[in-house]
Amino acid sequence: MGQEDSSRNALSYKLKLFIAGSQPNSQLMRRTVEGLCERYLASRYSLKVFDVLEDFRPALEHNVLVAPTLIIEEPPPPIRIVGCVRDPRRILAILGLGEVHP
Amino acid sequence: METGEKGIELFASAPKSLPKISTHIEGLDQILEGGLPAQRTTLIMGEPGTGKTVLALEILYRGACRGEPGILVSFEESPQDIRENAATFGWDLEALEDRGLLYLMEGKMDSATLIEGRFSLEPLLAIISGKAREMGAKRAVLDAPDVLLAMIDDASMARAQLQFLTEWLSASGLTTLMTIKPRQVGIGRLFQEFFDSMSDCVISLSARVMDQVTTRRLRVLKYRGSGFGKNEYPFVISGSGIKLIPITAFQLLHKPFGERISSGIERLDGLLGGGFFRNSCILLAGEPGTGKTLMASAFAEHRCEEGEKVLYVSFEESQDALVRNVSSAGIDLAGPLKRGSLRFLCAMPESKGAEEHLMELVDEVQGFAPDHVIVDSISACERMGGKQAAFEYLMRLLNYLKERGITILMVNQTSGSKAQLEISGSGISSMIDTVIFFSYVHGEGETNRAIQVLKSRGSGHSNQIRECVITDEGIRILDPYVGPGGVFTGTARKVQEAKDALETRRLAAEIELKEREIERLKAALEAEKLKLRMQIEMAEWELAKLRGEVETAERERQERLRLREREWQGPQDLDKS
Repeated sequence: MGQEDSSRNALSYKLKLFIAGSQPNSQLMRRTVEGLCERYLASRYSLKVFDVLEDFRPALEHNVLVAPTLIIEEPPPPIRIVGCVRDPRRILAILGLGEVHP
Repeated sequence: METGEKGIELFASAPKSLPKISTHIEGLDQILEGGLPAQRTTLIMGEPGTGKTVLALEILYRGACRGEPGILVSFEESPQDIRENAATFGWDLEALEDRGLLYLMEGKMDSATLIEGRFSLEPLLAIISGKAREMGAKRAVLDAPDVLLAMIDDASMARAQLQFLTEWLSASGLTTLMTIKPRQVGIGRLFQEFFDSMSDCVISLSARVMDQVTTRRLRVLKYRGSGFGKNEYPFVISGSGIKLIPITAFQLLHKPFGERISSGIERLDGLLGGGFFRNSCILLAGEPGTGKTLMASAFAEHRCEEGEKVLYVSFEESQDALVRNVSSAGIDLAGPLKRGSLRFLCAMPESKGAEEHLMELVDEVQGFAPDHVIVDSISACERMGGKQAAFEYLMRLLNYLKERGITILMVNQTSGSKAQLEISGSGISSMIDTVIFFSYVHGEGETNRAIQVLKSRGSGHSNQIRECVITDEGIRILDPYVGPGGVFTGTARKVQEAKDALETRRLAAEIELKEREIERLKAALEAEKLKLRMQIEMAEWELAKLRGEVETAERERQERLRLREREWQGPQDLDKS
C-alpha cells in the first residue's frame, strides 16, 4: 500500500443508501454495501439506509429518483452510484480502496 | 373557459361516460369533448419545440389557479427554468407553490452519478405519491420521462420499468400528463410503444413552417372510451399561453340574425331593404379606392353614435392614417376612439402567423366585447402564409364572431377583370350574408364609382347599380338613372339626361318631317299621275293624227292609181274625160 492509500485509510466515510423496500436489487445492494463497510472500513464509516417506501422525504431531499442509490458524501467530492453493483470491488475502487476493475 | 365548463356539464349529464377534467384551455376541451380522462394517463407527443411542456404546464397551472393542486416533475429542465418560462406567460408559479397548490420537482439525475447496475423508479414514484398525499393533488405532469428512461440501456430492464410505471400510474388515482418526444429507433421506440399503450389519450403536437410562417398543430390520436375532434387543429403559443379554436359543428352554434341596423348611409339602407341585420356577415368588395373603407368607417361611426362598440381590424393602414384619411370625407372616428367605443387592431399580415393573428383578435374581442367587428381587408390575409392560412383564419374568425352574435363587416379588395370571381374571396362565400360590390365606371373622360347589392340573405334588395360619390360629408348614393344606354354616372349621367331630352324633341321633329314628306310624296304622286295622264292623252292624240295620216296617204294612193289607169287606156279617155 502506497502513501496515498494510507492517507485514504485515515479518512472517514459517510454513506447513504436509498432502497425500495424488499425489492431484490435494493436488498442485494444493501447486503453488499453493509458487508463491504464491515470488512474494509471498520469503524471509520457511517452508513444510513433509507427505505423510500417508508418515507419519501429523505429521497426528495437528496433528489434520489431511482433505487438503489448509494451516495458517498464523504470524503469529497460526493459521488452517486446508481443501480445494484454486483462486484463489491467496483465500490472499493470508487472509494479509492483498491484496484479499479472495469 | 366557459366552453370548458359547459363541456364538463354536458359530459357529466351523459350516462356511462368517462369522467373528465377540464383543461381550462378554451378550444381544447371542445376537441377532447369535455377534457382529459380523469385518473388516467394522457400522453403529449411532439418534437422538441412543439409546445409539449407549455401545454402540460398550462393545464396544471390553470387547474391550480382554480384550487386543484398539481405536481410537475421535470426530467429535462430545472424547476427554476420552468418558473422563468412560465413567467413569460404571466403565470406566477411561485405564488401557487407558496399556497401549496403546485409542486415542481427536479427529475434530473445528479451529474456526478455512476450507473453501475439495475435500478427501479420506486423513489421517484414514492415521492410523487407522498407529495400528492400531502398536497391533496390529483394531477401530475411528468415532463420528458423519456430522458430518465434513456439511461436504461438494457431492453429487459426498460420493459420492466415501463411496466412498473404503467401499473403505478393506473393505481395512483392521479390524472397524469406525460410529454415525450417521438422516437423511431432502439429503446426509444420501445418507450413510445409502451407510453402509447399505457395512455388512454394521446395528443400529438407538430410545428410546420409554411411560407416562412410557423404553424403549430394539435391532433388527438386516440381517446379510449370517448369521442374526440379528429382534425388537426392549428394553435398558437401566445403571450398568455396556448390558444386554439377548433372548427367544429360551427353552423349549429351560429345565432340567428338580429334586428335591422342602419349601415350609416340612409340610401344604402334603402337598397338593402332596411339596413344590415345584426349578427350577419357583410362583405364590401371592389377595386381599390372605390370607397369600401369609407363605407366601413361610416358604419363604425354610426354604430358608435348609437352607443355600440366597434372593433376595427386593419391590415392595410395604421390607426392614425385611417382616422385621418376618413376624416377628409367627413367621417369622425377620432371621437368614438377617444370615448372608447371604437378600438383599432392594426397589424401587418406578414408580421405573424394566421393563428397568432386570430388569437390576438380573439383576445381583443374577449377584452373589449364589441358589437361589431370590421376586417379591412380579407384580401390582405393571404399574406399571413398563403391561401389556406387565410381561409382558415377567416373561417374560424367568422365562426367565432357569429357564435357570439357579433356583426362582421369585411372589406375585400378585388382587381380588375377577375373582380366578379373573387368578390367573396378565399372560398368563404357561404358564410357571407350580404355582398355589396363597388366598381369603377369609365367614360366621358372621367371615372366614377358605382355600387350594387349583389346578395342579401333574409331580405329583398334592390338590384340597381347606383352611383356613389364621395363628398366631404361622406358617401352619397345618387338616384338610380335607368335609361336606354345602361347605367350612367357623373357628367356622363348629366349629358345623358340632356341627350335624352334632346332626343325626344328630335324625334318629334322627325315624325313631323316624315309626315310632311309623305304628304309631299302623295302630292307628287298626284302630280305625276296628272302628268302621265296628259302624256297618255298627247300620245293618243298623236296616234289619232298618225292614223289620220295613214288614211290620207291611202286615199292619195288610190287616187294616183286611178289616174294612172286612165293614162294607160289612151288619151281619148283623157279627151273623153
